[in-house]
Amino acid sequence: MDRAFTNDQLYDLPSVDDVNYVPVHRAYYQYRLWVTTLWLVIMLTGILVCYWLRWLGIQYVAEYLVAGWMLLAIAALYITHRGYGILGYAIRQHDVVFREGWIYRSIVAAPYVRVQHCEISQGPIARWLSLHQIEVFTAGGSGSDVTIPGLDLDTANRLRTYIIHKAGVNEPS
Amino acid sequence: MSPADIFAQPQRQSAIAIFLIIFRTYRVIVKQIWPFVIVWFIGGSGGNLSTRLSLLVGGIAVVSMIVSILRYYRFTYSVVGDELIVERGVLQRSRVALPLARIQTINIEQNIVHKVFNVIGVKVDTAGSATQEITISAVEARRGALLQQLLLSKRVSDTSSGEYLLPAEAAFPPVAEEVVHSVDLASLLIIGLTQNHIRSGWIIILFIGWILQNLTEAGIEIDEYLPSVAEVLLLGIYLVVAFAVLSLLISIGRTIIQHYGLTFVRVGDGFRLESGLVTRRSVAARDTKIQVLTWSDNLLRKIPGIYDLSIKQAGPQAINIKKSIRVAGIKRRGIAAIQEMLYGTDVSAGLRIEPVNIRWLYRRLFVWSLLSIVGAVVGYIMQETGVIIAVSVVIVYAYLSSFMAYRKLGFACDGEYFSVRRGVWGEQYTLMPVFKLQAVAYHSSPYQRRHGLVTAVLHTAAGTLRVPFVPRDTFVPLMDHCLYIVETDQREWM
Repeated sequence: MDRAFTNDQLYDLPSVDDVNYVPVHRAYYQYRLWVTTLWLVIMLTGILVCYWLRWLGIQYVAEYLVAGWMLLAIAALYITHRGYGILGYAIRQHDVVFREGWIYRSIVAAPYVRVQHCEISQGPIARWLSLHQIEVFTAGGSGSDVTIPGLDLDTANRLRTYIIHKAGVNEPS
Repeated sequence: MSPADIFAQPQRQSAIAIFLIIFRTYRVIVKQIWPFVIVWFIGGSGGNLSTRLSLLVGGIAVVSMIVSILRYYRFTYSVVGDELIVERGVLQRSRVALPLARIQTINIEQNIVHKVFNVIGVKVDTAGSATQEITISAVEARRGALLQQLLLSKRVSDTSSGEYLLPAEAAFPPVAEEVVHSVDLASLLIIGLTQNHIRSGWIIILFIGWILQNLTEAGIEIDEYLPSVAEVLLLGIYLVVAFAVLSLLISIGRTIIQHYGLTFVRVGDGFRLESGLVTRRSVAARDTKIQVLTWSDNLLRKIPGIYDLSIKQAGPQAINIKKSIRVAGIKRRGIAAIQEMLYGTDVSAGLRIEPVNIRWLYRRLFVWSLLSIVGAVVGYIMQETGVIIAVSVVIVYAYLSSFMAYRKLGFACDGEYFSVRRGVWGEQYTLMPVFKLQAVAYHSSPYQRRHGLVTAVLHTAAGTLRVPFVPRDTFVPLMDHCLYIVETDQREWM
């Protein structure tokens, strides 16, 4: 007997397609721009240092490298700008859904019943902007962990409490 | 005295453990100090080489011996209540209390040293983010078996009462054992003959490369010894034959060492596999811990109709390989029997594999065509016929294998089980119950989005399944359904 997948016999399931994604904190837009800018500055510095020290024969192709860098900078900043609009999360009754990526898009849904533990963390630039990220871990390896960046402490704490409560995990605070 | 009483008191390992610990300590020490050793050898002054060498070896030996003996005396294990307690450490004492319910697998190991002294090594694995692994280097064989039984029985027994009160004789009720699959010498030869010989071939190629390199470094000009064309041809034929025979021998040798005396048995509500010629390995898994079944064949294995089955348990990715049970040389009906034991029916027989979108093939052919154009242009510029021929051969193979891979690639889901098929010349099937999923995701590139396609990603506790180029309209309802199953199913997933 062939049992191809059909969805008819079930009642209407809530779809991940109809989810209204909540955008992360506005300051995260700044954060992303800062991080991208930082990388671009590091790269330009590298090129310039090589130019002045006449390393790697860069002085002969410096114009092209700088032109390439400018193109890259425009592309990177534009992608960063667009990426923020796509980034969003949805806390549903039984799972958390997270969407990211303007070019290469990815949508992950992690059911609370499979959550192992939850963590709030903060990097140096995020600390400066008072942003936190929440990491939701499942047993499915790193790819299945949901990381929601760009949250203020209050939101992060509320999310964590809610997810832990739904997961039924007793965790030391 | 019941086993529960014996192990209630802190136990030492068998004295043989000292040797094993010495060996391990020696290895660790050598690994950590070798840079200093080199500096000492090169930079130091006075004393000749042999004196230094013997001093060094002697020093390491003495240090590792002292450390090992101390370690041996400071290592104890016991089973108290529902916990396995291990105290260890020479300078920094540590006490690990492992709840028995957390134990994933208990592996028994017996290498040559173990065999000679009739002892066994016991490895206890746990899953989850707090990865702890307890290794008891050596216990007397009988005692080790008792320990394994005790740990297993306690883990299975209802721990809600808080105390473990089974009487001694009832502690180990005779568990029904049924041999599902075993491998005799003839089957072992077949498995060896039908191995992927190309893999063994690589070992030889690397070896030849190594020899050639050494010859060149030793100042021997290989070019001078190159004979005439006819001789080269003859030599070539010899080499090919020798290569084939050697590959075959290596494959068979590896198979025998790995799978000698393989027995795969059904024990209660779990499975146990024993195999190995030099080191005998025993791996066990309970049904609930099993996440994914994977079985595969290759072109040669299609003739006897045998598969390699691996039964994967939950655990961090790094230790998955070790904890997966590999059943070699099993027939399709054996796999069906295992599925019946696990899932109540031969699930895979009822699933109809759907192909992925044809654009997956187009895209691969497109990429290969681009590469081949680059290759051809390079060949033309270099005026090298050899390059052009090589590019043509590669492109024909790439086209053919892409086409074959497309024909194999597909997935199936009946709502309860998810299955993926892939492969080029052989086939590999993966099967898992939907309720064991950890998370579901999909990715899409701009090209995929333009054509309404996604890459489906299913995360399990024993690895990730990916199916590229699935129609979005097929996968999104499937994803909703999978989430629904995971969120409502009450069964234990591990």
